[in-house]
Amino acid sequence: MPAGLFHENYHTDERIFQTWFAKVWLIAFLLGGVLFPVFGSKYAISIMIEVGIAIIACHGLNILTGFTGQISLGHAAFMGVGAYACSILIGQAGLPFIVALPMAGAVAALVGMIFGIPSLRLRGLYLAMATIAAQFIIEFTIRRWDSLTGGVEGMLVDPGSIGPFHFDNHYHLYYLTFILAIAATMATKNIVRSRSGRAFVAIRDRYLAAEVIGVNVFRYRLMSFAVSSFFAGIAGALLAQYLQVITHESFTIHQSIDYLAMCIIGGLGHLLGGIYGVGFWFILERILEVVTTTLNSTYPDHMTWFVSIREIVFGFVIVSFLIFEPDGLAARWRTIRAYWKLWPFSY
Amino acid sequence: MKKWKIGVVVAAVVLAFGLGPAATHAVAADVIKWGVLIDLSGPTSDWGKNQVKGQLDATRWLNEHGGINGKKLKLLVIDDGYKVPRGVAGYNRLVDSENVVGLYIQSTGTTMTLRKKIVSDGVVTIAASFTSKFQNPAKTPFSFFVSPSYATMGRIALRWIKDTWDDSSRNPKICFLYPDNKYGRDILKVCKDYAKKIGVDVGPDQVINWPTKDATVQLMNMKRYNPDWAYITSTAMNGAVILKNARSLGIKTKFISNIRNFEETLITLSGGASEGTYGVHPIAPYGAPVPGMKKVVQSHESWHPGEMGTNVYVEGWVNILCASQALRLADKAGDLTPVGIRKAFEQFKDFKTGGLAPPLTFTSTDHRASMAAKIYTIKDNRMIAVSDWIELPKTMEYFGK
Repeated sequence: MPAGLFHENYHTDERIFQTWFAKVWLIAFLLGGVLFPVFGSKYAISIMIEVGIAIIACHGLNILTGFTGQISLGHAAFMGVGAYACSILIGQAGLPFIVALPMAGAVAALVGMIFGIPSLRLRGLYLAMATIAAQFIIEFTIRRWDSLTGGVEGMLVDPGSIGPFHFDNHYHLYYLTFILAIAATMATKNIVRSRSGRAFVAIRDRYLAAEVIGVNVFRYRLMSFAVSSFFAGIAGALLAQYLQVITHESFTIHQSIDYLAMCIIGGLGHLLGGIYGVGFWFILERILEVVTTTLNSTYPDHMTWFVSIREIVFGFVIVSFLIFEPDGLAARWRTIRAYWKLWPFSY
Repeated sequence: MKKWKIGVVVAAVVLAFGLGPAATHAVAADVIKWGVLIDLSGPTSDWGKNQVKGQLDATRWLNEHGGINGKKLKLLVIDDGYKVPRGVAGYNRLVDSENVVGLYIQSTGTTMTLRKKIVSDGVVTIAASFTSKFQNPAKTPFSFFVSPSYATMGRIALRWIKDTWDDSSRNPKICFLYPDNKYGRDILKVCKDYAKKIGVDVGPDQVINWPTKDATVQLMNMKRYNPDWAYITSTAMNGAVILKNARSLGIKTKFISNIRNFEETLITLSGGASEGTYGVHPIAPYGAPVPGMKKVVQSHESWHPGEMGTNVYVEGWVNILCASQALRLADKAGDLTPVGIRKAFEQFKDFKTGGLAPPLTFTSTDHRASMAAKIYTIKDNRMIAVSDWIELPKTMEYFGK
């Protein structure tokens, strides 16, 4: 029996689940996810729906920013495109949800590609500015295209349904989000280990070298924008189902920045980065909420002292991650795993 | 590095133990939980902090004076930073986890986003967003607010402008100044229609977005039309910039502020530029000579000595006085459920708050609390009423628009 994990060919090296141990844990996790609504409260389920939506969105952003190295500050706007596209397709065009959902992704992908065109010339900070423009242009369009989007008053979303499942029911929506989050994770994993995924990474690491060895930089950048926005569109469509009413205020630049922060915390360029980041973010948010509301109701006279705790802690966490853990929680997890692998007989 | 980690663990333990006892004695029997979803850290936090201060003080006063039929009222305050996603999360927590019987929601965006959910959850809400859209119980059966709507107050201002106009050779001219959002655009259709009807000429709109740093361009544009009046829809923090710019440009137009702009902080923030401007407001300014003001001023002076009292603080009191009255009625009827509280609200007939707000009435088909407001002006840094109550008839013409 080999005293460790040894790969003898490329096939085993690229395998997604390398040990039976990983498979067992994954099955346990999936079972937990499936059974969650049985013991979870209504509140817990609505949080888990938000988590699922954020994971899908973060995978999208991770492909673009983490793997391809193109900073995007307009991710929430692309979610908005998906949200409105899906709701309009169901409500006004009368399409069934199962058709409208992928089409919402496709519309968002198209819009993403249009705003991705400047990436041919722009890099880094300049591209970030261009994506901020996308954020504002899309938000402005939503606000002013009254006849289509309902303008500033927002839009009532018709609940989608697939067969016996109606997504104004939070249990049904939970399972839909859960399945799509898993699908998004698998899709991301498979994209990044394919030819396109390697091209993305090559562009991120050194675009000039990538171009020299024959990667069509512009094409792959656009592709990355499209895939990323597709994920955002799907996440947005789910968010619309969750909120039941959408306004431009659900898709502001603050949201875009939050998603970027989640990706940084989780680990840009790691598949699990999106999941860890979202998990960490939501857990921290809940803890802070409990802490501040408890302090608020215990010491109501000093309420104004505690309200900024959240902002301060979030700022502190992001700065700390950038300084101490720039590769995010995913990298930290890898280090911890490596440490325990040889424990207690380390070198 | 190790020391640092130990520090974190120690801090976590201390925090956990420190909060443990606080959490356990927080909930007791005979407590009625009421939620407050408000901005304490975002762009409207100056307003939110005064509002929540008023609500907390009113609750404290209420609990010291018998509570709700002997039961204590407990406010659960959640800060949403004026962001919709956080507002929605806070709403879920209050309604699904804390099981509040009703709640107060500040942000228009959050209220609009939640409007379908509020109906399906059946939770009574008091809104800080006075949009007429929440006044038709056929559409929003659980929404209430304690004032005339923004559009009604706009109409009251127009009515007053027309009534005090003495140049018979022409109509008075007005421009609307507002930020490009739901709140800013809320009154436009109704007010422009009403202006046309009563003979007030409306000039080109000036969009002044938040956060307002400079409004010179818009004011110069407005100056070309040279209106007699300009109606500002904004908040004090942003509106103060408009007034300061107008003063330095030497604009002769008279300004009239809506309720969210016209508060005591406007006086301090505008550095004197608000002197002589007007405002339309249904809530009595802090310290006004009305019978209900005595307890408000006493509470504020003993619990917050040295701080400035504002009409936003008074509005906080009005919100709690109304909510507590509805809870009292529902509790007496033995039906302390959202439906019971809604019914209790709908029994309000000329409910008086001692002059803090105009008498309030709700019925099962009409959630327009009142149609009256006063016009104030700022003189020597104080708000002085220049009109008596101006009340518009409760016709169906602009109902829910």
